[in-house]
Amino acid sequence: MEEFEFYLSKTKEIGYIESFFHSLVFVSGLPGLQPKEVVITESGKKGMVIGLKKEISQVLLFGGEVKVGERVARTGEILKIPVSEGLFGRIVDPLMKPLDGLGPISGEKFLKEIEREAPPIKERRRIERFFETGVMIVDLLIPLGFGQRELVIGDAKTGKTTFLVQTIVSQAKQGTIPIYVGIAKKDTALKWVQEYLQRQRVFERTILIHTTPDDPIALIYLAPFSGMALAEYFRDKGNDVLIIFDDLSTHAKIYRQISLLLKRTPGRECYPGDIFHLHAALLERAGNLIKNKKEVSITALPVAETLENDISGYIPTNLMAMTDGHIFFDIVEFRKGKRPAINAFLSVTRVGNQTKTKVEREIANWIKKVLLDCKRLEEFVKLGAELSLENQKKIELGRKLEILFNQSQDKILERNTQLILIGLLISGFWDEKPLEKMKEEVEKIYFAQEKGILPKIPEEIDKIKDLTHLNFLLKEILPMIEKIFKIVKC
Amino acid sequence: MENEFSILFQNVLTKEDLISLLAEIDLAESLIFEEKETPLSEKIKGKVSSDFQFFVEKLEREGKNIKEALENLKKYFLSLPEVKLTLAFEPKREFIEKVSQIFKERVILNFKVDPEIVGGAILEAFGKFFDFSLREKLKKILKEELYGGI
Repeated sequence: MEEFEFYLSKTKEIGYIESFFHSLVFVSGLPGLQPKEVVITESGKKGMVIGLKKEISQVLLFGGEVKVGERVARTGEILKIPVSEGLFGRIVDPLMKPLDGLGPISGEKFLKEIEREAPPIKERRRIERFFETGVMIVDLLIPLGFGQRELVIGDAKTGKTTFLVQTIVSQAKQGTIPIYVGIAKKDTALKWVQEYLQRQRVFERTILIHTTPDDPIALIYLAPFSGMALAEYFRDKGNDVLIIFDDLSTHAKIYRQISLLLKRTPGRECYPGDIFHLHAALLERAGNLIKNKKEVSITALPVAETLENDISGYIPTNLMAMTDGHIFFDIVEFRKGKRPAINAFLSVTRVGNQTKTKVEREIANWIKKVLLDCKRLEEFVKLGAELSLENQKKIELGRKLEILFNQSQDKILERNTQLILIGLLISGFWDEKPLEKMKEEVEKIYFAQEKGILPKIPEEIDKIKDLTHLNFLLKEILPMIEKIFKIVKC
Repeated sequence: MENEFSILFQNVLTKEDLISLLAEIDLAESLIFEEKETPLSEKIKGKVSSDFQFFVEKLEREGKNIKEALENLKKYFLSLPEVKLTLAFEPKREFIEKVSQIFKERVILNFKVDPEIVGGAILEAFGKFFDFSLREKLKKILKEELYGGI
């Protein structure tokens, strides 16, 4: 009540609640109200203006119950969230209120506007730094760069969130600040993410913004903007930030719900006409920039859910248009048992290739050739054709490549480990060995990585000239690797 | 339209007046089609105010469509903006008439009595809020003079 009286005497404007429906409140009066302004009711409930009509303003309430006839005052302020260093290792709602029961957020707080304009062209820089996800198939075939916006798309339960948490772990260990925004996610889903990050010992370096499906729609709507405002705060302090929106197709549905309740004209699939702008304005705030003479970035990984592999839907195609590529989680591959179920042929990275070194490009070309040959030959096998010895070896090579790309959820492969694995395969180290033996040795290499005893390739990756040079460098560390195969028991 | 309803204006200044007028209009509307032989002005005699009765008689003399006229009357008065005034005392009719003349346009005054404001008035009009109460002034004085702005 006191806060309401304060704002009433400050702004000298008054309104009344004429009607409300769930979190949507319709207010009369308040002649000077601005879009996105925060208003406060007599009972202390706050909301944000989402629409202005001649006599009535449309307000999204952040929570709580109101009454018809209740007085409303303007605050004269656009919505801001309090950000601080104390958010690391915490689970908060989009207004930065803690949800984990660990008490208030510590540290000095700064108020940041939830909606800001995207950085101008003059601040942006070309994406050239490689962004490691720790997932081999992505790092080798669909590489990402710092500042890239890469859509993660696929059916439900195809492993998208697993890939995202693996990326969080990989980046957190390298000093990037990860922010995970759960949009209308069940508590159990968030709990899984939290426990995974705790097991990998990076939870204390991550910030989780969580909304459940039964939260007020205002909070669910604000979640990605809140996350982005937080990301901008850390970016402006000179850090690289990773932000994950899980998922924007649900966010689009929430916005559709709000727009339909506000009786706005529905467009295609009943989505409002400005759905593209909503997400584009959000994702444009990510990117690679120069701030205070330092290159900093926000790398965005928005998620979109499809149904039965249909990537031609309205929202998925919108998101594909406004991102720098997509990683496609194929339900067909998932059902075959492939993990992660990424279809490298249907995935795209528009700027990731800029971050690749010469040897990585050669590796990628080699892999693509092997996969294509294998796929073509498997078609012949299906038709009952008999293959020559050479072609049988090609199929086996493809299967061995699949062993490398098959990565369980707890495995995060460092760049050095990935190069060793693929280098050994390309050099023919596993040519005469059966698949089971290769699987065992791959596990041992991973074990050695975890224990910190895996030798490093004795050259910086950008100094490796080509595959022959890589082969030569691997021969230098091969004795150490063979020793690992002997001493490690899996 | 103002000329048409001018006879009623001097009596409909407050929300209570408006509620009474609307009740009279509802009563008249319910009696329009009851026993068509007797004119409406006779049917409502003794049940409504003299000004309202005079208004209905005027309509009958001029041969106007009474139902339509009553609907227009209702619409007009419901469209008038409402001004809320909180006072520390119960205002008299002369005071109400003086207040209604302050505004450039026709308004409906909604008075609320709250002795806690001590004196002055709190005004809410056209979405604006003004606290001219003595309570607010005393609060400011106490805050600045006695407690040094804290």
